[in-house]
Amino acid sequence: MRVEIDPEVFRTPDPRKPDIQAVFRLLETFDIGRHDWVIDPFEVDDFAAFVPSHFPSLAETYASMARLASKREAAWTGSGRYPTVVVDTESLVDLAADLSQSAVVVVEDLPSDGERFLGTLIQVFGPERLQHAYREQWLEVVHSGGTGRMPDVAAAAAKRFRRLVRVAAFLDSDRLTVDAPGNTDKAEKLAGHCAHVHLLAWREAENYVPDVVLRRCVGRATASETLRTLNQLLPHQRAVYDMKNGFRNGVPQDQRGVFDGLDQAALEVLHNGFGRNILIHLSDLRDELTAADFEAVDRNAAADLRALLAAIDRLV
Amino acid sequence: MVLARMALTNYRGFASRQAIELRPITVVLGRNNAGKSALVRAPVILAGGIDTDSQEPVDIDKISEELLESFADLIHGGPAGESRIGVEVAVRADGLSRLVASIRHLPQQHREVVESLELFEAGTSKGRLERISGIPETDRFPIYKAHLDGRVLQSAVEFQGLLPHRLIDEPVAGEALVGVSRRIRNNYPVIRYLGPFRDRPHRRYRLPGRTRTEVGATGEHAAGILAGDRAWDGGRLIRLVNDAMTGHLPGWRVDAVDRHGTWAIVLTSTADPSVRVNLADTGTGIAQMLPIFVQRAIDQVRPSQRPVLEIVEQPELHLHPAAHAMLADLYLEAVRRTSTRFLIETHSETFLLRLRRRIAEGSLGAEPTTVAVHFVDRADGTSVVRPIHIDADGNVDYWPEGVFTEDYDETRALVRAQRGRRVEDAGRDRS
Repeated sequence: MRVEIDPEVFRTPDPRKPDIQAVFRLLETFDIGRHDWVIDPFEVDDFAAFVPSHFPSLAETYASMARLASKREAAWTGSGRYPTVVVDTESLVDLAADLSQSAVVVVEDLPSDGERFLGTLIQVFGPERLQHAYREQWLEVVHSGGTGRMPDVAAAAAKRFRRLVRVAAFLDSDRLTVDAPGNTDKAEKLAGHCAHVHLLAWREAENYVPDVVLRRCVGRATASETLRTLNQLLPHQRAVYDMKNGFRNGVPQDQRGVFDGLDQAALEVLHNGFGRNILIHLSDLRDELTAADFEAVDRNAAADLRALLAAIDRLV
Repeated sequence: MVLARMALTNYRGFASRQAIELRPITVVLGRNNAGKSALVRAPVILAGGIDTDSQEPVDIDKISEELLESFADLIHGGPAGESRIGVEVAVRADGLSRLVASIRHLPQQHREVVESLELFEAGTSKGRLERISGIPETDRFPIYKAHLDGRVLQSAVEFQGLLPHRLIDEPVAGEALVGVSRRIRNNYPVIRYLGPFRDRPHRRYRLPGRTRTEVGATGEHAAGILAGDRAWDGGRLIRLVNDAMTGHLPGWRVDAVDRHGTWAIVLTSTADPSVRVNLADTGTGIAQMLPIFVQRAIDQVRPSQRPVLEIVEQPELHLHPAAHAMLADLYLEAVRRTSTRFLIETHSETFLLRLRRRIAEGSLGAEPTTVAVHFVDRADGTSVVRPIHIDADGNVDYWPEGVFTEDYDETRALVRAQRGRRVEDAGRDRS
């Protein structure tokens, strides 16, 4: 996150020990790269005057760090940057505690949605700072074991934070048509506990998976034909096709209008779907995937994934 | 009359189409080996296809061997890969004239051919050519299917470089197309190139046989130009060079001195003119920047009749950071006073900061539209170009993580290390 310490914190005469410790905790989050230090070039002197009394052995290096952080902020940060969390004298102790712990992402199922899907997306799309946060475990993924329990899990995660709730959640929409509400009601229940809730635009995580992965999910003999047929689906069909089970149970009543135009041959090729291990294969192949592979599925779908990652990045 | 935009596809390290807008000063940034040089040299390659009467799409004889060995080297992934390069050029005179072409490399024949081409005038297509494969070429001219004014015709086409010069079988129908060709050729700027490596100063120079207007790709002609200026023109250029360098070379003036028939470039002390130091005995920085100053002075004294695009790679090399800012001002002055535009590859944050500062100040004629910035990066194994926009306050809309903040990152690491040592020391104290 982008964090600014109100210069009043540095100007306060005789600060309390908990406040000094809180400043030190925040500085630590800056020097390890967990958060970006936002400091105005004209406030560096206040900080430089503050540190010798409280961190004498590190004062000189901290002052240098402040000067360079201010240059970074003034000159080498784009105007499209994320909002800044301002820490003032009143919120100092609470926010230092909140910012020193990991952000939380609540998912329905940890291995599938968390490690396999989200982990792969972070590796493939980045950005680099989010990848770093994921490696350093500054981002904790917790699961609920089902969409029904997600609000409870999110509420418990939110309680870890005193003021700044750094909790996000994402879930499958389970939409059978692109304009169906799907899990919108569940997302709304979650919203009360989270800083951000992302409802996937397409039906499930599996719908976003690139061809190179799907090829591994079906028999070699039928892979080419299956993928060719899948790629003939229009975006509104691909978005809601049951990737795992195909049309084994026929075309659901709610989807009749969606797949009406599909000929019998295509229905047969897509009959079995791609099985239940799509996300396992996705994770296995993560080192070979690029953002372009996801773009090739559908540009809007890839944009949806980027929006999910950007929302998490803002909290981390 | 300017090169307003160019785009390339499957070119060098760039797999997908990369378009860049050119402004009076266009700055290209990026990490090492990202593809910056390939990008800034592209106008030289394009000039080989526009400023030529060769029938080859790119007249390789017009391009220095230092910049290009063979056309195949331009193809992303080499000739074994996709054998086409996509090229787009937009020049602005009264309106915008645009060329979109695909050049195909024919490895067996060791030749290239324009595979397809479309020319636009003010956004409207004036004709499209598609090479017909499998049909033997008549004489030496390939046959094209021509889409002209709603009609589809077939004609042999004589090209001059990338541009159709004559539709041999349909000269009247092809007039509009050829007209756009002419406008693109007439309005494409003269391309100058100044590379990162500059000529090492010599102790003596001969007077040149003619008056040159360009310092050359390594600045190799700069000294001779100054010698000629002192010998024939009373040192007019030298005065301008010294005026521009005032403040950056305190106490010294550049001069050319006759040494019994050969000439030496010297620095003369302003306090004691009897004290002279040969340029060969000075630091690298002066020799590095002298060609840049000489070229600026030439542009003032003998302005080019045609617009010029000057490509400069790392003008800041061997210079103190304070001089980087001075260079930025020099280029801003140049675009204000002359018709020369610049395409500059740089690693200098001070250079870019000075440009941004001038935009924020509104000084030296700098506005947001004066400067274009492009960042070249590697993504998924290929190079990509991302534009960075500067607003009227000098702010950038985007900035790549970690670029020009290396000192901050190093200092953070230093703090971490020092903090770690304090903890260790505290542990030792307790034991």
